[in-house]
Amino acid sequence: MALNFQQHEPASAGRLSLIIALAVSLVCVGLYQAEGATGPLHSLQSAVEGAMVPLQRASAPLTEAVDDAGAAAAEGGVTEETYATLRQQNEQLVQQLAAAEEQRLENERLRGLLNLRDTYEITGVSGRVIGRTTDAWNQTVTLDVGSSSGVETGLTVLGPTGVVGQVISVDGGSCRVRLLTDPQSGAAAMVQSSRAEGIVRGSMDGLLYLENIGADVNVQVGDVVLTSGLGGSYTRGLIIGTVVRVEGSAGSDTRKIVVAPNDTVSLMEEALVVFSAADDAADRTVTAPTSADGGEGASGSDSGESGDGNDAGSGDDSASGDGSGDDAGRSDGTEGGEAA
Amino acid sequence: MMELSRETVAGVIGAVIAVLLQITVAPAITLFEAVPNFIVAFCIVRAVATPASAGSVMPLVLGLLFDLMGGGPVGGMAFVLVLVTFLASRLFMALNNDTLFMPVAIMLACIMLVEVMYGLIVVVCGADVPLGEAFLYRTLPCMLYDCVIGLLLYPIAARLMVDRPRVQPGTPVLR
Repeated sequence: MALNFQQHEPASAGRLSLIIALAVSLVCVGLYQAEGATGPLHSLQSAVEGAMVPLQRASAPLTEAVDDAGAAAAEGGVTEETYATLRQQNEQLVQQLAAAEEQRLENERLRGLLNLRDTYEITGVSGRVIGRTTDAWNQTVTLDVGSSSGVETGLTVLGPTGVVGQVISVDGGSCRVRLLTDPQSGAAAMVQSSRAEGIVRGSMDGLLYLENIGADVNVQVGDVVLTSGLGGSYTRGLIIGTVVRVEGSAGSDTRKIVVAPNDTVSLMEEALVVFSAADDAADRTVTAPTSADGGEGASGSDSGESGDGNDAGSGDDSASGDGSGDDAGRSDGTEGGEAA
Repeated sequence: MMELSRETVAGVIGAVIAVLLQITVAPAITLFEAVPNFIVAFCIVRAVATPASAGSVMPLVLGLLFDLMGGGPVGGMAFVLVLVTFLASRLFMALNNDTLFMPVAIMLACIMLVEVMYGLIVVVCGADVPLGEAFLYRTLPCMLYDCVIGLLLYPIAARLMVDRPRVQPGTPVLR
């Protein structure tokens, strides 16, 4: 085969630019690895992330459209004729129902957040998810609350039924949250019933694993896993999820404990950034939000199984909570008001 | 002064579109954990479609932008893109035999190489994950997704980015 070397530019110039480009990128990698989280490259990364927020906000309808398309594809079994007839008959009702349903779901999610807030006496600020990760190697979401609302790096973030991650960078009006399912996440955790401590880590396969737990500790399926607050990275006593699978037995070094997160992050639209929670939060249990479709509430009720009887603080209805206003001092008025 | 050829203008416009797609569209069309990478697909497609003028500046800039937008090590994707686009353009210039197979094969191979190398860099730079799992759950699905995007982009890029020589009226043109 004839080789076809063509030189359209001086070879030396091309090589020089290649070498310079490679050197620049390698220097960047080196600096990034060497500097701390407050270094110039990390700061630049946060600034770019902040600049992306308006664009991500603008693309929110696209995300909804893709979700709707997925739902429509799932309904592909219904014939077009039947579908058209039904649509015609129900046109008005559907519009009203859609609006009502949207409000109901939003109410439900916010009630879930309120429920947690009341149960754990949480002070914090709630925000909406306005962006998701742009690369496959980091599982992050962007919330529309930032340093102007009191959010700081390292704060714990709760979904409607449990811990979902931790703030890793903050901008004036937004913050980025690394999700618990990210392989680079790790939360000091404890099993509620036995008080055994370990670390919950994310993984590439999307599951949460409870690691570093004492080899002699007996962990059962259904055990509730909470943040232990060890090391101060996560607020103590907040629910992470429940044990759904234990591979291997106590005493085995290769034992794998799989934890089901209490919250479905992919569907999450609002979240609560936690400033502080009650000191005895670890002894309180969370009541599941009353959910007609039972989606996310089911796992929340698991916590009741281990009931140590000390759930007086949880009450059974978030709506009665009167503690929601106590964060007004730190959260901005709109967010606090919205949740209340 | 820099010459504003059709390839340069189309390249810059394409780069802007790729970045916008990465910010707005990519998160919305994530399949399981695989996020498509329009920037990688664009850079490789451009390196194959216009190998003589691909250069190292655009891959460097786009790679740095990708690194800054995401949460990975800044410079990682830039390094990989500069290296692989150079490789892609030189390979294509050496092996081009005027068939469709060669550019497509080089493009797909290079897209895969980018994802594998970037995965290695992320793991080496501190992502606490086993290499095998990283390849299985991230690199492989992302590489397949990027290949699909590359295949969709290539005909458009070949049509819009390449300066075609002017021909005399009446000269037969191979289409």
